[in-house]
Amino acid sequence: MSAASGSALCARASSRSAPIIVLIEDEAGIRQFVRTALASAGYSVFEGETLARGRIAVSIRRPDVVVLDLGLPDGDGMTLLAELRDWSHVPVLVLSARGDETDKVRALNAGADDYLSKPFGVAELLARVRALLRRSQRVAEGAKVHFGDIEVDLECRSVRRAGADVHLTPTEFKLLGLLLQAGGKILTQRQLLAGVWGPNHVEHVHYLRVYMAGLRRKLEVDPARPCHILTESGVGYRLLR
Amino acid sequence: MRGRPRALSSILTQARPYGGAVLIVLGVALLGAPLLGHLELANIAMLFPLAVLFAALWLGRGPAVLAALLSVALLDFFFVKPHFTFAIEDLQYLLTFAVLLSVALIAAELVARLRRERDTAAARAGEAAQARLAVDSERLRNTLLASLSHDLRSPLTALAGLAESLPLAGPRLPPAQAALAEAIRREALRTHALARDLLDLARLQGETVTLAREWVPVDELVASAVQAREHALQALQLRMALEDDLPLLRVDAVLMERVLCNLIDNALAHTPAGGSLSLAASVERCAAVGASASAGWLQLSVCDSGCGLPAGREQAIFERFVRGGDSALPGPGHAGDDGSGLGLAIVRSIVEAHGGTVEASNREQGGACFTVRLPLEPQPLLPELE
Repeated sequence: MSAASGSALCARASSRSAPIIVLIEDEAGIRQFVRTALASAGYSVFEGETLARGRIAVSIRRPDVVVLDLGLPDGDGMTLLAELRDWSHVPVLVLSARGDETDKVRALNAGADDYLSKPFGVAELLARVRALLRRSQRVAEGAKVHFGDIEVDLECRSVRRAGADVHLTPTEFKLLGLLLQAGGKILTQRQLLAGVWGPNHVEHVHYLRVYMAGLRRKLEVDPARPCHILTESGVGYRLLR
Repeated sequence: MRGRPRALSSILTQARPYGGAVLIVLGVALLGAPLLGHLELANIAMLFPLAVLFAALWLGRGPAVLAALLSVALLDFFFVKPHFTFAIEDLQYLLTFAVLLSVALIAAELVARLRRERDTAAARAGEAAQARLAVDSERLRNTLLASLSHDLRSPLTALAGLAESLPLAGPRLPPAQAALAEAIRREALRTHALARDLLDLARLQGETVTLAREWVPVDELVASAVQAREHALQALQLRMALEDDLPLLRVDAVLMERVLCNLIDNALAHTPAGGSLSLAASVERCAAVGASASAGWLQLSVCDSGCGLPAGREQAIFERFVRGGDSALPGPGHAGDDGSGLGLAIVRSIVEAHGGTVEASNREQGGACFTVRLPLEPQPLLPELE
């Protein structure tokens, strides 16, 4: 199937009453509580306890969000993620143990949209799923984006903070642009480095960190306690509006 | 007196191979004697390098050299006319002796070298096998820890989640039952944290800790730790004193955030709500001495206005399962993830793996202060500033 049918899927999803979620997780207890939590929030939940069953569920149910555990008994969830990205843009929320940062980075670089570290609570789970659904239904935004007391004009490449002009360097503006385009999604260090400095600089993590610190100093009220440009340690950054 | 028999026996042990060499050469000479008259002398002479070769193979280089010299002497004395003198009639035998001696010495040297190489190869193989064994056992240990970690943590994650979703599964629970479900969730999370800390500590105290070091600004480390504890920190007044233009640190960002989070958790657990917590970072430059002039230390401190440390226990609290004091308060707001008694031991393991130190002290105005010192490295090159 082509990418076009993926976007057709999104259009179909937005007109339906209860969003469909496919949950692929081998641990019965976790599956049970995630299902209960999602069902209580009004979603239709379908499950797969193995990679094989998950693959079938995803192709039959055409979900609006996939919740995917990476360690499955019959294979790596990454395999399914890679297959899925060949034909669909459906948002994927990865479940991963805390401390497995390399797994999270791998999953995000392979096209996952977000991750939840185990153990997670019901509120956190529902918030992430809601955010993914919102993002997939989002219409193209205008040239002006607001967050906090910041206004970014993407067309004129200007930034104002509480009405006053803020001078950003071209690199800082590129970084901010990438974070805004991601719409709250985490971008891995590799994705940001490749986006701003090009694919030859993906190892220069310190460039990214230094420019991110500069961006915080200019845009955050208290750069030591940022509210918008958030670090996901060992993974990347996200912009919270 | 007692030293003498030992010295004697050691001399005897050392002399034994030489005796062996003499015996081999004598044996060859005895073998050759009846053949004299039947075979050409040159052919009999060829038997002696054989003796030297065996001496070299079995006994080593020194005995082989002795065998070579003895061979020439015996050949001259018994086999070359006039017999039973070292005089020689025909000068061509000088050439025979010279060739015999050099063949024997070269053979002895070659064999000795072979033996040496065999021994070092064996030793090297032994070392390699040992190194492989160490790597294998470390890998086994890490695999075991990882699977144990997964097997323990997955059901606890499920348990906490199930308890939390209990009220969602049916009609609204009566308050007493909701409280029970909440208690189950809290305990499951606490057990999860304990299992996590235990396994992390086991991993950190293994032979090889792999650090994913990268350059990180100090502000970002502090900010991400504060962000992770944002909710619990609302119960305290947070003061931050970060020096301007702090350098980059080359550390494992995830582990270093853990250090700060654990220190914040520790402060939260021992400070009553409404108290204060201060986070400070400063650079301690070394006196400019030669090449290390650019290096120095980064000092990070987490200080609270809580009950302080019991006198004389400033070091003991970094040991496993030691708590700060009997007066440990329930953490203000950060329920569920405190008090495994391992937090500070983990802090110390991580800091030491980075070549740093951590110290605890009491403040004059009350409360405890934890200070982490990390070595600074020459700063990396940055892209040209725009």
